[in-house]
Amino acid sequence: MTEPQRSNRAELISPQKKLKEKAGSGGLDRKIIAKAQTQLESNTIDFKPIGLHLIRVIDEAIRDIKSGKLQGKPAITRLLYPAMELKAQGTMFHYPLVTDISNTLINFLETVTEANDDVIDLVVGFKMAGQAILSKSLTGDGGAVGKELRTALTDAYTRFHKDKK
Amino acid sequence: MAYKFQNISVLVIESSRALFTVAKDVLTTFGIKEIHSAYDIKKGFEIFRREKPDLIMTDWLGDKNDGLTFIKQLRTDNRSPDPFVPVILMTGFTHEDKVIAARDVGISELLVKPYTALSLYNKIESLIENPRAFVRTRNFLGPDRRHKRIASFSGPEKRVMEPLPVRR
Repeated sequence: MTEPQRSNRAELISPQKKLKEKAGSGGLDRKIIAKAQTQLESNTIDFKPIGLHLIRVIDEAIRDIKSGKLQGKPAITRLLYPAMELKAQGTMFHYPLVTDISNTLINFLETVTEANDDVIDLVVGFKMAGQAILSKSLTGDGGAVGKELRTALTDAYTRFHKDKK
Repeated sequence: MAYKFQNISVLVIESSRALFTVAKDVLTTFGIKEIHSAYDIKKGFEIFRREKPDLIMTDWLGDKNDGLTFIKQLRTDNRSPDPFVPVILMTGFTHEDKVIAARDVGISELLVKPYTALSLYNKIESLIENPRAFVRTRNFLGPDRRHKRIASFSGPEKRVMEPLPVRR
């Protein structure tokens, strides 16, 4: 016997406009936004230890995957989170190259369902590239080395998908 | 005339202290004076209950999706002092399934990291000028999730077919 279906009708609620009431109107002077951007860009936070810590988190996940402790979707999730943090923080702390390569890794990981040997090889490649960028303090776009790293990783992900076809 | 950001209070929940510092600097430059911080959801919910901020900015908070759990909690927990508080989720995730997961716990805006001062400002401005109505169903309380109509949908609950009761 099936249970009778309960109604799932939606109720639309207009909440109090508290923010509007407090902030008022008129927006913010563009000069203030530009000043905030300058402030953001001139932060002196040393990203190297933060980034290297996140790389270590990826390394630990790789070890757990290789030992069979971590499999399937949870394995991908463990790899995705530190990669996302590297992507999120790289540019904000003067390492846009870290953001770029992490973004490429995230896009790749979002397309796979299991962390098999081929996937892990690519993640190891990413890890080594990330380590190199941070250890050599390759801030900015990393120049010629950065370009080379970006191309090598993108090509590796493309090859992976081609081989799977 | 300009926004009186000195009148609003913000709670920022960031797992990274470095990112909190950056967010605080930007918000302070905008003129926001009352900025609370937390680094995990337990502390975050405690501060939310005590300080009742006008706006919450939270990170994804780890691979257990704590940021989403926190948003669900502040929308539905009966200890929540303001289930309608605007929430900006700050994350580096942009893949569709992550965005849908965030939408389904009731975020107000998604701010993609790395962000700029302008992109953060635009989110705050949108919450001030264009706050979305909330929808309450058996399983959900949060801003109306309908950003676009899905023409292929033909189920019995398609809400565009029947007007909703509006409560103020």
